[in-house]
Amino acid sequence: MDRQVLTLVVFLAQAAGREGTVTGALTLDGETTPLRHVYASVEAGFFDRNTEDVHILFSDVPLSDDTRADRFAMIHLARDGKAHIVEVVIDQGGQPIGGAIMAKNFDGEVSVAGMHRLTPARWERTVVEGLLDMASPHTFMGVSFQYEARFSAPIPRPPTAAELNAALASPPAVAAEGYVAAVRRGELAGFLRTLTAGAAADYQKDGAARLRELRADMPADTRPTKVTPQTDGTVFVELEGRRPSDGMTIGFTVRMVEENGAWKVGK
Amino acid sequence: MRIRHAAGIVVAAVLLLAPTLRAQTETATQFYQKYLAAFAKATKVEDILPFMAEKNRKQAEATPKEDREKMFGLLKILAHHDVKVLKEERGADGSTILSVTGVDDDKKTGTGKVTLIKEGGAWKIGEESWTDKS
Repeated sequence: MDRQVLTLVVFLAQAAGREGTVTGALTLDGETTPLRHVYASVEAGFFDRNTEDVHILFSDVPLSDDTRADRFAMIHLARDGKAHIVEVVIDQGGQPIGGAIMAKNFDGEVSVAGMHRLTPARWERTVVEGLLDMASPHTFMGVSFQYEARFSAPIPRPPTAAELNAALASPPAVAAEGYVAAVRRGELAGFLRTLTAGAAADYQKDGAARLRELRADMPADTRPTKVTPQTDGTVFVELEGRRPSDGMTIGFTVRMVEENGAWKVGK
Repeated sequence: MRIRHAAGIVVAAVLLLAPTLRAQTETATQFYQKYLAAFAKATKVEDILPFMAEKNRKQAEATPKEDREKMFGLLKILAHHDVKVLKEERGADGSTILSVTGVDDDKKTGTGKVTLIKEGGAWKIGEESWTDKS
């Protein structure tokens, strides 16, 4: 496996692993809810901003990126009985320093600290694995609670410069560059060869005129700037260029699809 | 965090047959800057309706006049100033999303996304959302 392919495999693994795997349960007043989803992220340390805390979220239902970014959205889900969420915050030294349980039983959210136990199996920059649990049930607001979760979760991080360069040299990014070059040439047959069969079919009508429009809109210096593999095996490649008339950055995102062994721009 | 969804709080008025606001060569950024200038001068929601996408104008039509005025006042209060367009992002559906930044009345810098769509060959504002940086 060459370096570029290996890089892509790593990126694909990271994309697929945005959500980790977990086996566990949250028990509230004797009622047990399986925890099926886990997400990890890092934030500046609560006690020391120069360090990082790892935030781990367990949930019985999937939580979108937008929902996880909006604490009130999670609390509302919990208050409405639509989600059971356990959050644990772990400092850079591997110590659980706080957490919360979000559930209808608590009318939304309750902060809980001092009872979390972490047994790490793997604790690295981009992945955390282990067991989080409580030694015994605790009671707060008249609600008894306990949880246990064995988990493995990736920590999404922006790529390093080296990782970015490798991604931009990966086959889908190189194919996206070929697509840009074909647009710049403005020759329809060559352009269609950079597309999947399905995408090319869309150009059967007025293809030459549409290519002219695209060529006029795409700045001459357009190039790939970001590569984001998707869990379905496709890869989003972001393209950027500067419009000469006003210096505005113009962005395009193409979805690269592997078709018959070659990466093409899909629909 | 404060988020403004213009599409959601655009208020209604009688739908006027507005002239096409965009010349053929007008960029999405130029259209939005024209809208910002019109919004700054606007005293009632009818002044900005010609810039809005049809779905927003229809939503506005269903809003009682008194609510319309209150909502327009809210739009004015929440508006950002010194708005700059940082990037135009082409969408697969023909839309363009503008990444913008601006300053609110509390001098807080915010960032926003403005979705522009084409209706009858003219740019229209589909949705606008802002988030203050904390």
